Amino acid sequence: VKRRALEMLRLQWLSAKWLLLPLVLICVGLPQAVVRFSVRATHGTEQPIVAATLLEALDVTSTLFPYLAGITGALIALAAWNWDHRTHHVYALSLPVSRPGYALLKLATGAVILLIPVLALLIGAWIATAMVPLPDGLRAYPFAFAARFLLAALLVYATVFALAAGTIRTTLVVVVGVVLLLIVGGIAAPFLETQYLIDLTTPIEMIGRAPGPLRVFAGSWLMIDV
Amino acid sequence: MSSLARVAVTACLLLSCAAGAQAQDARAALGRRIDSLKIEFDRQLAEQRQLDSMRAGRARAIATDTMTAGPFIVIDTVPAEVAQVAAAIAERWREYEPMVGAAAARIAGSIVTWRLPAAYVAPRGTTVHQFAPFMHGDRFEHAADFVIRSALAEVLPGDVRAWLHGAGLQLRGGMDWAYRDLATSNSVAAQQCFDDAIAACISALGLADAGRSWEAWYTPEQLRHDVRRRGLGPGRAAACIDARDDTACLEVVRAYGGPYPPLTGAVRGTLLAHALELGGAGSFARLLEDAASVGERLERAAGQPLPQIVSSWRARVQEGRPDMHAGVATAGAWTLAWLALLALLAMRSTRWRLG
Repeated sequence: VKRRALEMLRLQWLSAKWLLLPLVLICVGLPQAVVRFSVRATHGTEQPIVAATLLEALDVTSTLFPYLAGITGALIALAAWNWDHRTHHVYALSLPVSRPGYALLKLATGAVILLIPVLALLIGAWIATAMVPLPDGLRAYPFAFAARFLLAALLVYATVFALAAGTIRTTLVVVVGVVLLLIVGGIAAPFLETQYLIDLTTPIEMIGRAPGPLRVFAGSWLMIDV
Repeated sequence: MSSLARVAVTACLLLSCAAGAQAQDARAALGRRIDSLKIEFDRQLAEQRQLDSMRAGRARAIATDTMTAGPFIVIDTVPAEVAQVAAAIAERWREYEPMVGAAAARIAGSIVTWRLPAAYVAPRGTTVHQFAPFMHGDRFEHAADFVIRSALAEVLPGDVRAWLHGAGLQLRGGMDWAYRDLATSNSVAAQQCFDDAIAACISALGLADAGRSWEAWYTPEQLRHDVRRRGLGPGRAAACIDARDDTACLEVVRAYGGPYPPLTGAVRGTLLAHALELGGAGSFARLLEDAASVGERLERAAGQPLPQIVSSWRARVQEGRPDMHAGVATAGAWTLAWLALLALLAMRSTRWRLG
């Protein structure tokens, strides 16, 4: 199993290495760019930094990170299946391994590959927060920030991985089904609430709060906070 | 008597007669005016009585059911809703009642309604509170709590309301936001308060004089930052920012009516809630008693000196510091569960079977 895992990891690396290069550069650079831009935009060269003003600016600029996490997860998931799809699964079928075992191994090795941009983001966030003289009352949270990024990227990675593992027809059915559920539920829930005085939650609210899958995207994405 | 003197005497007599006639005319006109005003007053009074009678009639016609909940009267067109709303308010009121004490009489008879038609007009002098259970989760509890707090906020003395800067009466929670405000405020008083200087806390909370130039609240540099943030145009603002003229900064700040207080009205509200909690039974009634200042009112409500109240409030604010890792840990647990589900789905692919 260890040999197969290593072999799979090598294959995943070969498949994703050119994709990883820009991702790593963005993940290292974006936290620094966001913090520096936030300080420059609100304070210019003025010192000391005002906590409330810096947080307001970071609150706006940090909205980029959920998108980066989503893009990173999706790209790594697509890269994981890319080679199999192009070669019509010949390599996978030639292996003495069951289909679920193969998918699980691929999912796990892809998750390991995903750690590379996450580590890059952690380094970027750590440098970014260390470079700014933080006012009293503010603290740097590079690890919590990177952990949130990892969870969000993993979630998107697993979702796209599961969709890419199936046929195009299955993917279409799932995506269209989910979109329809969100739309119909979004309209029906408030209507039923007012008509029958019952407490309902729309599907969008459901997925955005615990235990919904997108809960991790809804929290704070600040590297610096109180 | 010369002819000239005769003419003069005649002229004087004529003028005095004319003046007398004019005064008589004025008196008559005034009398007519008073009569017409009395008629107008009687007419208005009759109309008002008719309107009041119509209001009472309409209230009786529209409100099909009423119920008493604490000091409130719940009125609605749907009896089931009346019972729901009254139960929610009565439940919440039980928590407030000891604190409010005798002051409950001040809000007695306030009307609460959920879906009363727009045509409903409450009897004069009655306050109507809208029960709005729009929030999810424990929405009835939230709506009932909001109604009670709104009613209590309305009887707050003017100085307390002005001190709260428009913030509502928030009697539970809010300490995490108070911490955030205190930790990030661009005020020397708030920063010293954050570092445990109680006198600075009293000043930052607006319970002591900030000084003619607000020097107890802000340094000149902090005022300059305030001017910059407001994005004011050229002139004195430019002199304040670019030429770093402190006098210009003060002039600009005075022109827009003073700086923002170091801590928001909502944070001040958490101090009020803390004082009421410290005071226990009847603390709200004591808050409403006559007093020279808001600080004195808080002391009476809490039954403690102001520095002691502020000190314990500050300790609670520090305890309210948001845990930045908690959100990640909770989200992490659920994310792992979703990952396991997605892994199961990925393992059930159909690609191999279809080629």
